[in-house]
Amino acid sequence: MNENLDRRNFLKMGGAVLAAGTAGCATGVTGSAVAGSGSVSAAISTIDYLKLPKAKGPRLVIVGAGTSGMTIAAHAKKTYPNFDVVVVDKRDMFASCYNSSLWYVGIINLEFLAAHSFLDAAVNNNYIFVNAAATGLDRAARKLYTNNGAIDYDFLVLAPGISYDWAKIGVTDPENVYNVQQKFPGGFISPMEHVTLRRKFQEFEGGTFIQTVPSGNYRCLPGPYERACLMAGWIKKNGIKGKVLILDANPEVTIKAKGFHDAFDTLYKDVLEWKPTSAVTGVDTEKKIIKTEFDQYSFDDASIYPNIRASTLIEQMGLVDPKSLQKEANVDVRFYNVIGDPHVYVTGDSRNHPYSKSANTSNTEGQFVAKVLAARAQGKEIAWESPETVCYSMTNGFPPEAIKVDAKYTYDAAKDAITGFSPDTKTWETRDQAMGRAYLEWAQGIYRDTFGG
Amino acid sequence: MDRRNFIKVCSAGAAALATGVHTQLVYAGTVKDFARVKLVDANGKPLKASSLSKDEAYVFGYPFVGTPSFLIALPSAAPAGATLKTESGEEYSFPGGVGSKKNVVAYLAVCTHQLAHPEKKGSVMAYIAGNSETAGRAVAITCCSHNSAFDPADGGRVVIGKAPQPLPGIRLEHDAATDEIYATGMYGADMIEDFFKKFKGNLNKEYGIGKYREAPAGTVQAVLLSKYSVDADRC
Repeated sequence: MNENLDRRNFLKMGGAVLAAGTAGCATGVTGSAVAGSGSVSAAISTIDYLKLPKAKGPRLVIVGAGTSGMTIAAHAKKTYPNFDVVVVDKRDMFASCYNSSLWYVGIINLEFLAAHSFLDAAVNNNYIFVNAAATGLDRAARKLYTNNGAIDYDFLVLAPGISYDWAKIGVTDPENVYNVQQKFPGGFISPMEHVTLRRKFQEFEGGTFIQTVPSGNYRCLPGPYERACLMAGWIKKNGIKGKVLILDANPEVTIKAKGFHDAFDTLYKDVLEWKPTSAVTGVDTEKKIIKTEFDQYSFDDASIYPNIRASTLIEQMGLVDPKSLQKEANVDVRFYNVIGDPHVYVTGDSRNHPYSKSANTSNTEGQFVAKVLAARAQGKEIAWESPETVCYSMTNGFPPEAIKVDAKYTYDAAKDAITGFSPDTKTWETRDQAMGRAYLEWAQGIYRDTFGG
Repeated sequence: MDRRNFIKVCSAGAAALATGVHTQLVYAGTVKDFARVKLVDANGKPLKASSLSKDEAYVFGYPFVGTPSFLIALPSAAPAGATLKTESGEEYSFPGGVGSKKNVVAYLAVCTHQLAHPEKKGSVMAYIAGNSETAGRAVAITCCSHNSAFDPADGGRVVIGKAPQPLPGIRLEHDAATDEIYATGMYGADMIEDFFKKFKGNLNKEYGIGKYREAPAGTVQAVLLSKYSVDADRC
């Protein structure tokens, strides 16, 4: 969109596409859903617009202050200073999910993960941070609903991350779901899970600790293996009479397999057992038993990582790709806009791409999406760029030693699809301390990029 | 750069050449003059351009105490002339190496991607004279944090990775009579304030409150990266 384009022309421009793509698209869990169905809840109708300063340019609203949303927020205005950027997140405190397992065994402290302020990020990058939960979306009116009021947008980015899919591991009864997630958290979404898991590590006195690995394109492919390695190292270091059992739904370690197997075999031979093709089919939290298709395993403590899906917000907003097994959003493969709607984008781990769901992927993708948005705000298009997945895993905690992968992706124009890793993908699978230190700098670089100026 | 600045830079260079001192000529408005300091070793002895190690970079705090730069002796001459561009679109030209072999160059050792740099506790930045897996070639400055690589023989140009602009160059001067090396300024992207802003807390801790902003005077120590950092990641 040209920066001088007025609202009427802007509407005209988007109208043809919107008419085809967004008829009846007012959806959501509160405001917009009831508005769309013709009945307005009294509680919601009292909330009008959120009081924001008048937009000084095309308003870009970003839902989700994780790596994806924060990267786009930081880079959009740098790329196109006319943007008026508003970031919406229900959290008021950030705590990094990436690198969190390192905290469990004392390689880093909590400050490393959590001393990053949304306020500083907003000031450093000239945007407004709104502490609110997105509750609905009216794409025809270009209006986002939050629990604190509605916000009109010219461009909307939804980067709400993931939700767990308990049913895929045979945990369906709500009582069972809450028992599993509260007692044996997966530890790949919220900070409170990490607090609980760290406590479990520190309090583990012996027996079997089970770490499960789900199937599908789950968040942070090496994460559960890394955590298992760190726990095994913790057991060894502290002379605990116990072991780690990895129940892996996959037939092989899903990434950096050589580096992980090397650690399993050389560092943790007596304290770690890896069982491939062992998808969880049920959990008995009282008896502390995990069931797989053919076996069942007793445990003393566990981190049960269920399958994942796109954040439920994507489904609530009616944006799910019917072909996605993980209820991910139906977006353009190269440019992330919801199919048929050039004003709404879904990025980060809710996208329906086969990309690794990881911090560096979201960070590099976010930098590209910021350029896409800046171009489109000026009526231009840019060429596709692959995100890049640079990802470390601490296979040894004592001393910290890491392995690494660096992957980009291949786009096939004939299929209009991402077909896999690019041929120049590299791995460094002989662990060493230099990569252990680089791992910490890797995270701090992303914190600087997303929170710094 | 306009004609006036071009002439100004050229004349300064010409005057220097006449006296046997070779100053790198940078044809751009991106040049910033800083204090002229002599590069010395850990004992305060002047470094000689012709006897520098070709295996690794030297680290020196320039243009400020808290901004690490790399001094590198390349295996062969680095000819001047390549045109480079900052992220904001400013063009400038690589002034080439100094020394009798024209192989000595210097760059700010701060990755233009996310500002990683050598620290005492370790470095993800390194000059690799041999083969770099990340760069896919020999003679590269690598940042292993997110795998960017730069070409020290070509003005710090980005070879691979998400770094959006070349490494800023440190302007050097070589005294042919003594073979000594001086740093006199910087050219290319201006990243110093951004670097200070993002590392202020750490820099205050390491150098004392506000000390990192002080300019070195007279001489500045340049020590091998292997002596400066506990360990450097090479990729």
